[in-house]
Amino acid sequence: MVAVESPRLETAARALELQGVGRRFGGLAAVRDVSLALEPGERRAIIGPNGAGKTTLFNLVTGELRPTAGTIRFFGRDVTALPPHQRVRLGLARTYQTPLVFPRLTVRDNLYLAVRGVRPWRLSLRAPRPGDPEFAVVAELAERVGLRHALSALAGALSHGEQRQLEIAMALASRPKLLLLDEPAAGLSPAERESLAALLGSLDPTMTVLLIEHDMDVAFQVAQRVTVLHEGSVIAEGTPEAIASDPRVRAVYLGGTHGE
Amino acid sequence: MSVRRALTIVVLLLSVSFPFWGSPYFVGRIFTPALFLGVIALSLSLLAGFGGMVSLAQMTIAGLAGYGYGYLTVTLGQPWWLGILGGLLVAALAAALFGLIAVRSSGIYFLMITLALGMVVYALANQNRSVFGGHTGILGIRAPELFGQSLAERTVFYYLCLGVGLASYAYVRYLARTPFGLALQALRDEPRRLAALGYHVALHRVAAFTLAGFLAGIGGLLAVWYNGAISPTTIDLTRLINVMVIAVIGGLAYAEGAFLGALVFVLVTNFASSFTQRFNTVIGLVFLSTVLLSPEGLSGLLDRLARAVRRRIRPGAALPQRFPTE
Ligand SMILES: Nc1ncnc2c1ncn2[C@@H]1O[C@H](COP(=O)(O)OP(=O)(O)O)[C@@H](O)[C@H]1O
Ligand SMILES: [Mg+2]
Repeated sequence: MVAVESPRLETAARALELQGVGRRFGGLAAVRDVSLALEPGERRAIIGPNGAGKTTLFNLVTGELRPTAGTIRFFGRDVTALPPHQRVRLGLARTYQTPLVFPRLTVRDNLYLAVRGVRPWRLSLRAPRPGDPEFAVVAELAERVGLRHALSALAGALSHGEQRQLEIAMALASRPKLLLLDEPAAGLSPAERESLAALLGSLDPTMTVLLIEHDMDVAFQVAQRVTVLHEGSVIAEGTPEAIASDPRVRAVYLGGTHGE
Repeated sequence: MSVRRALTIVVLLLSVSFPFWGSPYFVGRIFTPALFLGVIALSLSLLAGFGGMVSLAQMTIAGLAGYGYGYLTVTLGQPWWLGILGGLLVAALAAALFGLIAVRSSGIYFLMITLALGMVVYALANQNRSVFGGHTGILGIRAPELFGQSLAERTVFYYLCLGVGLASYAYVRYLARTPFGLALQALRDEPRRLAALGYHVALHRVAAFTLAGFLAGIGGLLAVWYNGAISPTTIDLTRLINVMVIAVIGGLAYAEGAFLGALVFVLVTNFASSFTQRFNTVIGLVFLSTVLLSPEGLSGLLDRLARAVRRRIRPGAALPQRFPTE
């Protein structure tokens, strides 16, 4: 286990820093005493068996859930009490484990809302015109995730994989400083996985990425460091190689029969 | 030319020329009330169809605009334009307040809270004499006069209601394409997602409720000019529910549904009452059969018919580009 103890002064440089973060649901401690620090530009994977508390941890970082203990800092700023929409405006974007898009709006409008979301006048009462600069961004985002042909389709009519791509494009629309991806490869075909990996590889290297991945192969391909969560707690953190050979990780996660 | 556009042109021509060939009774007693009731119901379609907020308080808000206008012009003797401004302001403020109270809930709870708010205002209007005029309400309310011409004159008033109705309809359709309207539809389906894009969902709900309240207030002004008086009966439980009945019969998710539903409603209440005391039963039956036979209301039915016609004319025509609400 790697203890994340560092002097307070250095925290300003951290993209994300969790200190003693916990969340209880009644009697269940879904996340307990998690401390975690991401350097700007770092690519970190969180792995762990189902129910380990990975998604809950994401919800705490984005503000959709309030922690019952601990503090969360985003580029040095304490955001523990900040509502989700304000964290997004600071540069935090996410995707969901089950793709969450607006099914009865077109792909174009989904992306348009995503682009507008972090800009002033996001609730303008003036209808956009085709020449508005936002649409150039929308087209560029759609191109990047291979959905240019589907701009006029309803998002609800897209395949699972396409909705995933759309969601990633929506997250990128805000030009986030920290991107959280909740099992981005789940349910994708091998071809889709490949284009996902290419997309993640093409991201701005200064962007910090935290991704949950069930599949160790995918996690290890993208991430420089891996954090292992088990029953709400961090049980290991290190390079993919170190994690892959860690006996505790093998015990709880890889289903190894003998522990210790 | 699409079936929809052809239909729009026909409806426009018929409604504009209507006073020239329609009977005074139909112009004044059927279509005129259908138009202002349609505007009030449209405020519900906007909230429910786009925002997923089914409010029972729209008639209350419309009534408050009427009370505001009556209080200012009759009780305080102020000019009509002040009455209009005051009435709309009261409606918008009341809506904002209702919105603040109700936005954190959804579905059936939202419905019940707005109903409770409506009943609170009803009780207040009944008991308060100084402003609301108690049980009697405010009598002798007059529509504005422009160039010595009262707007309440039958044909003039019909055109006023038609103009306001068309403008409201066009505005709501326009609104659907604005960032405000898109975000409203987005929060109807996935509020979490919208918040995760940087939008303040609760604030947006309150804003939408306020905007809809303003629209209801416009309809409420037309109604009070038509009736020449306002009393607690105008905002009692039955009237509150009538707005819902109208919007559902017409099709909640369609802007035109509000007017279609209002027309059916006024027709049924007028003609059913001539042969039976139980026109509420008749309305109830119309409501039930709509919900059972075409949950998308009459507009949904027409929509499906139009698509069928189009498929007949042009088999293999592209999929309809209807506005994507259910
Ligand atoms: N909103 C909630 N209410 C109650 N329990 C929850 C809630 N969200 C998650 N949990 C519980 O917390 C635990 C962790 O869940 P989750 O974070 O989704 O795990 P993971 O994403 O690692 O599979 C599970 O036992 C789950 O049932
Ligand atoms: Mg999960």
